[in-house]
Amino acid sequence: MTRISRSSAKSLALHATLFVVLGFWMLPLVYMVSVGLRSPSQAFDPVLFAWPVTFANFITVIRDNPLTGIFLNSLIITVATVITVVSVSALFAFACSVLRLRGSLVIYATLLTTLMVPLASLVLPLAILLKTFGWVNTYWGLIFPYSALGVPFAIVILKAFMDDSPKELFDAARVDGCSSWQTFWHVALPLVRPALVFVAIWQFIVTWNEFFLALIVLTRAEMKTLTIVPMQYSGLYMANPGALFAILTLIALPLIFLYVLVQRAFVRGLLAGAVKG
Amino acid sequence: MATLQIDNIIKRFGTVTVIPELSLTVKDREFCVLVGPSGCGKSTLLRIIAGLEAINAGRLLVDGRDVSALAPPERGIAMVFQSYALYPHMDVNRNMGFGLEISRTPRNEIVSRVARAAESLHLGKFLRRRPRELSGGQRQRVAIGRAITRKPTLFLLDEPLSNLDAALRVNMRVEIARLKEELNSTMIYVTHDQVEAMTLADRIVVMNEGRIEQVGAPLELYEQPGNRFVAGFLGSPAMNFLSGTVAQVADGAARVDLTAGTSVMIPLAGRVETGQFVELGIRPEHIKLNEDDDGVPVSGRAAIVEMLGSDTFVHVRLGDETIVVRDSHGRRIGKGLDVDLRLPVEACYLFDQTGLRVSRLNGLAEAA
Repeated sequence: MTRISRSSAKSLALHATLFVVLGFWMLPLVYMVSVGLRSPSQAFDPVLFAWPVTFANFITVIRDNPLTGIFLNSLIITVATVITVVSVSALFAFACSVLRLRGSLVIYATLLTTLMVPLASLVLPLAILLKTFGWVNTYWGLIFPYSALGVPFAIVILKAFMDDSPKELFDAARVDGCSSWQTFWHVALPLVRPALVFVAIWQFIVTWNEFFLALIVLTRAEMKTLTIVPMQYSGLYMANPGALFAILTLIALPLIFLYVLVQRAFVRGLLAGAVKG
Repeated sequence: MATLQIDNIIKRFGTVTVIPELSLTVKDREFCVLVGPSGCGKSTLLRIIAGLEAINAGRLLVDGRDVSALAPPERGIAMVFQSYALYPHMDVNRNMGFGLEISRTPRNEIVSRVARAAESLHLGKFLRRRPRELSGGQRQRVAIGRAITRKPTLFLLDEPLSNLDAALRVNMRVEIARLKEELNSTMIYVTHDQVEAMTLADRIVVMNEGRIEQVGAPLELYEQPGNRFVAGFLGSPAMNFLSGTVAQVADGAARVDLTAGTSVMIPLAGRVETGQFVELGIRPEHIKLNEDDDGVPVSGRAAIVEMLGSDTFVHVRLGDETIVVRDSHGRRIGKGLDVDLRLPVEACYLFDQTGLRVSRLNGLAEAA
């Protein structure tokens, strides 16, 4: 066998394996879309695709819920959280890694410990705190806790990137006359752009999908976020799996589009963060 | 154009003192080269001058003005970094004009200054390129261009050629020598490469362990080293050192018995005593190989022969010691053969056990 045919056979085998793995990985997602497109009588049929396809479930969930308002609630909370997390963590990583401000490493180590606290243990104190501040049923009631929970992880990623950046660039910026803010804006941020994109997408996904805290903080119908909607189609005495899976598909769509758009930057950020030595 | 005065500065990192106490004056329009081995504090000194490191004591004066507490841009300096430090997300044009942009220089002024620097450095074609699209030499020229556009009073260059390959380094050395003439500014250049130091400097500052060992013109240091460190550091191959003992001191000269098995009379400038350990220094190019000439005869065996074409370096074993001889006659010397050497007394230096030169200026230096 020639070297070229050997390498193409290797590549074929590799791709075939990857496609099989991808197939298994995609099964739940395909099943979710498939159930959403079934009539109630076919909902529990043990097949991956059932015919005929119906959009009745999608029509039901769109008709039953003020989806535009709910979608906007999710979007406002998610975008505000992403902006807060990216801004705060980038500034903190810069202070820690480049400016080396006194005490910043102690704060960094303290923040890292919060990564180990499960959300469930925070729910009760958070609920009391939010009630005291009058933030129940407000956007802030979710934006602040989400940001606080997202910042430590984002800092880990961004600090690793800034530690990896050539220090002479920051020296050059100082010689060029940059203030700390100008160094951050003109030099540090462009240098860690892949990490910023990664952190932004990661935070977007986490916030968009968050259910537990949203369920507790948002009790008024007009304040609800998308992740709470599926609950009404799955209860103790009733279930509408078609509608449930249709709304789950609708919730997943923005994330899928976002990921397709920025996939390259996301993977680059993920890898660069992973190989930091 | 500026005069820099470094006045008794001390620099510590935690408990480690990297510059114990140092004073130096760099004259207006002088090209001053700081040389020394890795870790001797030369780059730290440059960073102190740039304002990137704070000092623990002392003062820095530029044209008589105390700049010790001033931020880098307020000192009127520009710096070329060892790794170029070009902003990877900016093109050449913006890299060169960034300092001016930050200082809010009018747009048309930035354009004209960048264009002038680019023309002088042959970078006109590359203004729209990012650093990653440039070769090492081009990146280095952009780094120099960035310094030029700011019209600084003081240029600082931190080992600017150390990341280039040998051929490119020679080209850039010539380029820097040309710029030196063209800019006519005060420049402080850090390097560990003595060829760069010897060819570019008006004055060389040899540093070791945070201290200045000697300051002087390149040939002055080469021919009149004040101590063993300077003698050994400048010159390639390095000066040879042969150990010996003072056998007799009389009439301003010392007779030294070399471990290699011969004696030599050296005129003295300093104090030595009979029985004292000393080292005799002689440069490879001054040793005569297989020539019937004046000088102290010694015999040895050629252990290693390095033929470079123009020169041959012969490493000769003399008992437990090895010395390098530079032969420029194009002779073929076989490895392992016995060779006769002559050490001209006028080319010998004598260093005492503290490393201080105790011999009088040799004949070569006096002739120069």
